[in-house]
Amino acid sequence: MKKMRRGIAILIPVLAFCLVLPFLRAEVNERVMVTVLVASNQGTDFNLDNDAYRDQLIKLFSYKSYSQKDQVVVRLERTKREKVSLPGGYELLLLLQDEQSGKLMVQAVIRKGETTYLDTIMSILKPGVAFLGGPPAEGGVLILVLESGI
Amino acid sequence: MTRENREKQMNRLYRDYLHREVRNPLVREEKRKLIETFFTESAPRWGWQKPLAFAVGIVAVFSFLVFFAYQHPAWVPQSISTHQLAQPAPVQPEPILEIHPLVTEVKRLTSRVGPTMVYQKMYRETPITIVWVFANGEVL
Amino acid sequence: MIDPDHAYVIKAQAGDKKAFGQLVNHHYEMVYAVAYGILHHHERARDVTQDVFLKVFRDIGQFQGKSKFKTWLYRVTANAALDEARKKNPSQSLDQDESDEDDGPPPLQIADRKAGPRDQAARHELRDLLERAIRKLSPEHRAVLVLREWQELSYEEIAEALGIELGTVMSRIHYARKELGKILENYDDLLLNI
Repeated sequence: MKKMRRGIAILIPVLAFCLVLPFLRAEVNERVMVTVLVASNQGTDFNLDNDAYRDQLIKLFSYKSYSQKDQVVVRLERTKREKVSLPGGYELLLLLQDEQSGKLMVQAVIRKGETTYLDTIMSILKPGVAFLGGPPAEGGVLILVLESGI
Repeated sequence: MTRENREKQMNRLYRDYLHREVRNPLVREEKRKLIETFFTESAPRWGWQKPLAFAVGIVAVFSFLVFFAYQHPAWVPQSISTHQLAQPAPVQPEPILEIHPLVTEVKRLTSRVGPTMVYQKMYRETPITIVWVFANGEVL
Repeated sequence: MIDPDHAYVIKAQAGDKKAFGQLVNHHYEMVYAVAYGILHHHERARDVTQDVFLKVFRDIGQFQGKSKFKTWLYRVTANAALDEARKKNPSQSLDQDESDEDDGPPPLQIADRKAGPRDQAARHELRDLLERAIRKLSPEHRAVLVLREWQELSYEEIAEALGIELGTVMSRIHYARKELGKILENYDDLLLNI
């Protein structure tokens, strides 16, 4: 009898853990690499680390110089807004809206003080690349490269 | 000196450096020798070879055509078949397709500083989405 | 845009050596400059230049005119010069950072720049520095540099001539300029007065 009680005492927490575990795993975060560039027509900088989309960048935009300022990996969660500081006093805010097999739905906001330069909710395919850009900074424009599935 | 000015000066120095090398009299002399040695003979004038080759070609083509004509029977037009043609099944309209899995969805796109744009293109197997704000030409 | 060499190319394709001689006459210095810019050696550049023209004459029948003749010539020249450079340094990889060969720039020995001969000495010193800096670059970096700075080709033309990606062109030019700039940035006063 004593042994049975002991067995049940061990089994109940284990069962409870197994029931809770799927919910815990649902809070898994997604990683997105954010590369911060300033593109301009001043000089001829070209110091991007990532070759994968380098040529596409040149074909898409007609700037002479692309200078990489920062590169960070951001872990996105549904309930927490991640902040990345950008040149020129801007900041990028990222919030995971949804995650399905094959894509992430992300809210991305570029703002400076109280001014929102860009606010979008968009899907980023996995793997996939999104370029957000346009805010003026440091004599050029900001281009942010968001890569998922890293 | 600013970095740009230094770059310009450096480029000018580099060009001057190469210019000096290219204008070396030795280079001119080597060019002259190369042309004289290998590239002074002009093309031969029209001799008898080309018209002969042309004539042989014409004869060969004519012979082939004659040979071909004798090998194949004359074409006789066939009578039109009286069998009724089967009617193809009518095409049913396809249901509206779901969004292609590689297309990006954009649920919201706003800005307080100017118009925005979004488009997508494929880079090898990876789709690239571009979201852009035109911040009214403002440059800080 | 009509290729100015078109008429000579057509004749050369028909076997007219004299017509090809005109092409050599027009483009010899350009080919030599590219070869020298990559090899940085007069005799080797001369040999490569000769080889290029002989090869181009031999293969001119294959030139279909989809690009300008000059573009094709750039491509053949750059590849020939790079092949020649690799013969001498087969272990040297592309875009290799040559900082391990860096023994630093020599100290500049100029006491006074007011007089003319001293200016000339300064110029001479700067040329030496520039040559030294160029020698430190890999042949691949020299190739993009000479095509961009000497021939003033666009990045797309350079990419086509060298058979590399556009981003690689930009990256190599950036690196080459940065490296040359490093050698020269300590001599701002010298640059201002020359």
